[in-house]
Amino acid sequence: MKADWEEILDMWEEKELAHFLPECLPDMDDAIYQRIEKQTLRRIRKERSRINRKQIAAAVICLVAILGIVGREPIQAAFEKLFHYLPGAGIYTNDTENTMYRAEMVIDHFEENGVQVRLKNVYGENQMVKLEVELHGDDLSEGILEEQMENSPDVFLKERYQTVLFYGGTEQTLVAKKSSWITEEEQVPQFSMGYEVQVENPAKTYEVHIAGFDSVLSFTLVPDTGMVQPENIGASQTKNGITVTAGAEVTDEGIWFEYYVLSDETVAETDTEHRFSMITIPYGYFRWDDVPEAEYYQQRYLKNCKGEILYPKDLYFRDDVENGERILYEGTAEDFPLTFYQAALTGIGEERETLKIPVPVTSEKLEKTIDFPYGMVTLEQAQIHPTHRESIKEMEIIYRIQPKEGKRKMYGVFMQVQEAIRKGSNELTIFPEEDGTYHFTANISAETKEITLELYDPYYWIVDNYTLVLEEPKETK
Amino acid sequence: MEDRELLKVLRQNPENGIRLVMKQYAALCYYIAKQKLLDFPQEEVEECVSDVFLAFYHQYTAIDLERGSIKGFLSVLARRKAIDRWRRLAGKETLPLQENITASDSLEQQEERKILLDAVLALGDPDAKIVILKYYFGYPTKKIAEIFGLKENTVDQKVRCSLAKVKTILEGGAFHEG
Repeated sequence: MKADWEEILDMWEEKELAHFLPECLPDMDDAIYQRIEKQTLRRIRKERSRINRKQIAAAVICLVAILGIVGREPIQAAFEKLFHYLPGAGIYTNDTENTMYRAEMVIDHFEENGVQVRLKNVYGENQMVKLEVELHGDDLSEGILEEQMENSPDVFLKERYQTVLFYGGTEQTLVAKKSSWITEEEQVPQFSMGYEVQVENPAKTYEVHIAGFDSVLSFTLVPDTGMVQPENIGASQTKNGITVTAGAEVTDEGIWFEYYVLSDETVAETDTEHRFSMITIPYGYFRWDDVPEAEYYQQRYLKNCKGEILYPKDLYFRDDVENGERILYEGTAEDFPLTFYQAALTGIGEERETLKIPVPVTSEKLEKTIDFPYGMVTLEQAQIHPTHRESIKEMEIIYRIQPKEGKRKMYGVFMQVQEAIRKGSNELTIFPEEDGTYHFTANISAETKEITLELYDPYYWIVDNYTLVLEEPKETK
Repeated sequence: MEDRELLKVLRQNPENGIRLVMKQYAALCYYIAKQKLLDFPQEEVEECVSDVFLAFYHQYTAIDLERGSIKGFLSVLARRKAIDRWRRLAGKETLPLQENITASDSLEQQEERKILLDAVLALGDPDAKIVILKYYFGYPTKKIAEIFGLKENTVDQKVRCSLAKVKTILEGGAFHEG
């Protein structure tokens, strides 16, 4: 044996360890547990906020690429021209420069060999055709999947199930821009792929052929000037420049409910978990531990005519669509009229402010204020804490956020210290202490005399709730 | 809570799921990490356990309950994170161990692991379990004594004796490969 026994023990995997897994688990000091839990959840939330920021950055890059423009002002202008696609209703847009196309479905679904295939989120924008294909079936994994990556949601279809788009005499094999795979015990597996295809003039009829299936999906794209209004899908309410619109249709499965949030601002709407943790702040401070599941439904819920909250039928009867969601609820036509409630939404600004702060020996008052459109940040105190390494110290900034008068109220801001030892020690602090102060910390070298503090992407909530009444279901297709 | 239920909560609400998994298994991971990082400050142990659950948050979709369990997955993850940190702190080397714990390693390593497993299993019950609880899971002697209804010094004696037997088998025993 080359290795020492303990080194080999280090290499043991689950299969060796399975013989010795203890049934009786140890206890640990509660204070230590609390510290570990707090630290871990903070890191997870921080990662999520970074992912959010990446998504925003990706949207900006995408818009720059589409419009062929660069620089801050054009990017802002591009955001202002964001259009909104409402499946089943068309396009709602104030954009006069881009040409949009809505889809008229010819065949949007079929079932073959026990697999349901569905076409969704189809529309065109300038020379780009966008579509999603969703497959749903019991033997999906055995039947059509080539490979699923370990530790990754990425999956690949077998070659014989390639997707090919036919239009105007052209045949184009599609490569998915995104894919998602849902599978769980006792659930029918579901796989979806998103495609984008460059077409000179999208106003055509298209056929989607998926190898392995005889049936074909088909749709026609027609130019859309944005005349279809969001009210047409059911009910709609506009407040503070944000439109919330919703509709519902009754099927054999239950009530298919859809809602959309239409805003020219960057709204932290799509990440419900992140938004959930922030949005409740105006309603009072809470610890994550204190949030019961029912609280979730206070942010957005659907009630029937008796005032009872309806619950989604199952997690997987839920589609993320452009600007919103489609969710299947338990219920029938007897439940109408339905009331849809959407709590105040969160917006994210693009401002960035930088300032220098001397590193104190132990503690120093700061009294610096930074003005943002919807609130003032006051830095009150800088403190130095020792760490277990002599060469590193922790600098803590204590600050407050005072929202301004108006319908948009700031409650959080990202911070970053340029000199921080670990890059990525940027943080959006969303939970104030009980005295109303926020605390931001960064590890810096013991040699650092001055830090450069950046404050960016202020978060603000847009003070207004939305209540929509859906008098009757839409006509069932 | 059963593993299946935990995985379901994780998929529906990852943050809530992680909290539940931590409640159930934080102490298990803590003792595994502490056993490897005894010579370093407490903060390092706590940070290491936090690393374990952050990595679990990224990797839990790889857990196959047909082949393993959350307990087993976390135990291996905790041990590897602790070794990785120990190496960094001790300035031994900078290359981390294979972090993807589902990846397979070399044939030679597989062979060595099998030889050690056979050697430990040859100790019989409860000695085999006691030595692994002590050296892999980092359980305090007092806890092991409670579990097996033994005196603490009996546990210590069994550990010493078992360790000597394992080393003897590994060094020249029947499993020696030319």
